[in-house]
Amino acid sequence: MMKILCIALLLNLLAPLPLLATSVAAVEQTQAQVTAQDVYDYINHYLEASAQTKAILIQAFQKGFQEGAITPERALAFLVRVNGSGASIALREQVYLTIADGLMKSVPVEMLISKVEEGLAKGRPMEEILAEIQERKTTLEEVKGLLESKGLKVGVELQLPVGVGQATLVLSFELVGAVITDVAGALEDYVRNGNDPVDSLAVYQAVMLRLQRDRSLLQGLVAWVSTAVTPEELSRIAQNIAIRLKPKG
Amino acid sequence: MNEEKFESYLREGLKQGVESHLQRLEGLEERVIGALEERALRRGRWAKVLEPLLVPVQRRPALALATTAMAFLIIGLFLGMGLSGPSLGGGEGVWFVVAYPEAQSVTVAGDFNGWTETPLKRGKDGIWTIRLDLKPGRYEYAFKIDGKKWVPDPRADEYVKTYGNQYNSVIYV
Repeated sequence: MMKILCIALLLNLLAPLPLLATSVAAVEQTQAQVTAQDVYDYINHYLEASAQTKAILIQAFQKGFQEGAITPERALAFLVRVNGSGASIALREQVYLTIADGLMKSVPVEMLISKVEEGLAKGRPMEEILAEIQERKTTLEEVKGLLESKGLKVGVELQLPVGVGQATLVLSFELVGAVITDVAGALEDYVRNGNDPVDSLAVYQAVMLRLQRDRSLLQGLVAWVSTAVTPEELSRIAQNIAIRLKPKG
Repeated sequence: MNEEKFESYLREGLKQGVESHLQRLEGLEERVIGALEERALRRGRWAKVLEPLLVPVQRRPALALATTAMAFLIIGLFLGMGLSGPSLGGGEGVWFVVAYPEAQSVTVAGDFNGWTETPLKRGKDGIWTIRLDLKPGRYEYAFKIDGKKWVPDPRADEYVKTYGNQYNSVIYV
């Protein structure tokens, strides 16, 4: 009887497999289309930039691919889009170099690339896009510095609460990068939406709410961050953002 | 009947069951959405009462706003106030729905598609919809109307300021 039940269970479980296998194969095929070498070839042969910029970019993307900070598909799509934007070469180079600097400093660049894409889609001037990503990169660096000072680094083993017990988690770039991006993004949005950066509890609440709502983050890691950072520390970064965003003159 | 024979009958029966189930699921999404639109927008006594509301946006902006709000209410009620939550067809499906009766085209762009434009499908009475498969996470996005105007989604989870002091919509999946 047990045998019969096992077969029944197996049949139920296996039924959607052909569909799943087809979708996975399709996704893999798409992803396999762009390699790191394709990105380097594009930089060398098609990118309008100085030889020095190209060398910096190749080095930065090599590091980014190794760390898992960016995929070749994402990198190539970004380069192609900026290269074809019609902005001056000097401005385009500065945009590339801002991303490259982020990659060299092991800062997650997903938010920056997304802001470039958004700006281009909305037809914003490249000067504005550049200023936007430079400001946000500084915030990402500050948040990374704060979290690193608390022990949140790639490769570090953290004891996290799982259910009623604890589990050891080795932090990957993906995990750390997602937390840095969410904290930095929450601080940016908090200030840009006109809220008071000095109100440390409100700043803290805004950041924690973002972390809790983002289902892509490990909840154990969110709990860890909520006890590791203080409202005052987050408020300081928010105040720095407010200073940078203050209209000049 | 010995055990082996019984197993083979059972196996065959289950296989047929799964196949018929899959057939029934085919096109389920479209059928459900179609039926909901049909029910939500069926014209009757109420349609006559609401007739004055269905005028071009440019001529009657306040009424157009009210129509839009009502459309959202109807859709929300029929779908249990959770269009963006559960998937109707399996997977991590997220519905984007916006009412623009006068629009010729509506697209959505955001973090999930590299800010390239994905067209929405026009339904009856100008309700535009699309279902996208998204991984869990937080996404910023905006709708583009007639290839010109960027607008936020009235149904978004939150809004954040972006370029040009405008707002992006945010959805948590």
